[in-house]
Amino acid sequence: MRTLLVVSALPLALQLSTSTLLILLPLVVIELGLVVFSLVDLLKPERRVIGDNKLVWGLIIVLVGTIGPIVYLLAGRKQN
Amino acid sequence: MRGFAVLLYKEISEQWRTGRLPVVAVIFLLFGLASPVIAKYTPDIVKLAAGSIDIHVPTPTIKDAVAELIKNLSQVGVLAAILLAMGSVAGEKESGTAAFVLVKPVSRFAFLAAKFSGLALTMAAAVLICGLAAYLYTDLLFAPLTVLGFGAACLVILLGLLEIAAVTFLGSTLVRSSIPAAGTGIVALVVAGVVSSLPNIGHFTPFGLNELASDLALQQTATGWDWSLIVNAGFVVVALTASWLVFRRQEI
Repeated sequence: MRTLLVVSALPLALQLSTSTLLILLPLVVIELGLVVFSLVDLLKPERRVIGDNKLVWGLIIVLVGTIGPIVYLLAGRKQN
Repeated sequence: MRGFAVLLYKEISEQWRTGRLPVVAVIFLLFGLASPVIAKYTPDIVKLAAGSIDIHVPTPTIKDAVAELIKNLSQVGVLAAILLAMGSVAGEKESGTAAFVLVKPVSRFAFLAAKFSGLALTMAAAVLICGLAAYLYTDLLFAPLTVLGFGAACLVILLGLLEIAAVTFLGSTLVRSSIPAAGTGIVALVVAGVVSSLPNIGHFTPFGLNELASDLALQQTATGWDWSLIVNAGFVVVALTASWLVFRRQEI
């Protein structure tokens, strides 16, 4: 999430050029993509998670920065 | 090694099918891209946050970009290594898949070797992607690094990650559940962190290798690291041998 905050706040705060914005764009896309992908995967009805509590995993994904989606995607899902 | 090739293929296709391989690749890509950016713009953000307070922040250099990359890989890379390794054997024992596979004409050695090889290949692919992304962005934001030096640095970082993965893998072989296996990796991490701060022996830990990786990436003289590399690689071999000794007679 620190990455997301840094790259989201930078353009406004530092008045960056278009080329620099293009450099930062992949970071925002990947970081947001990880969160969205994790949430979509979590909300699948057939998805089973460790601890059987989807709400807790949802909070971890949204609130625990970059680490949240990483932990969910690598260790939070039960394989069918 | 009866059945190794088939099991390794199964392992890699499973890493892909379950999404672990692409997820780890994307995570490492993110940190490869983000490290030079954070190094470049953190001083500006600090100045901005300080407002009217006059804070002197040194201009970031290529050294900061390399340091940020190594720091991120030491944290998130190690976390990924533990998360990948913790369920590799324990998860299969817990779910009964290991028992199902081992009644087929494959040796237990091939089963373990395929498991760790699949894990090592995933980590290697992730470090490669991270290295390429970091190289590109460091070139764009600072200056080009030498390909050979930076490549060698990535290999040293990979060795450190494999060391933590191997100890977690040993834990995963010892127990029947992923959580205690992860605990083994975390204990190894804490011990390695403490020992790395000690003089004379700090170099013999995965974190101690970070200094070597930095020297290699920045083309600085790196001498006297032979034994450090041998000892760190030795830890991987010892952890894997111990896994095999435990697993070969274990009731599945």
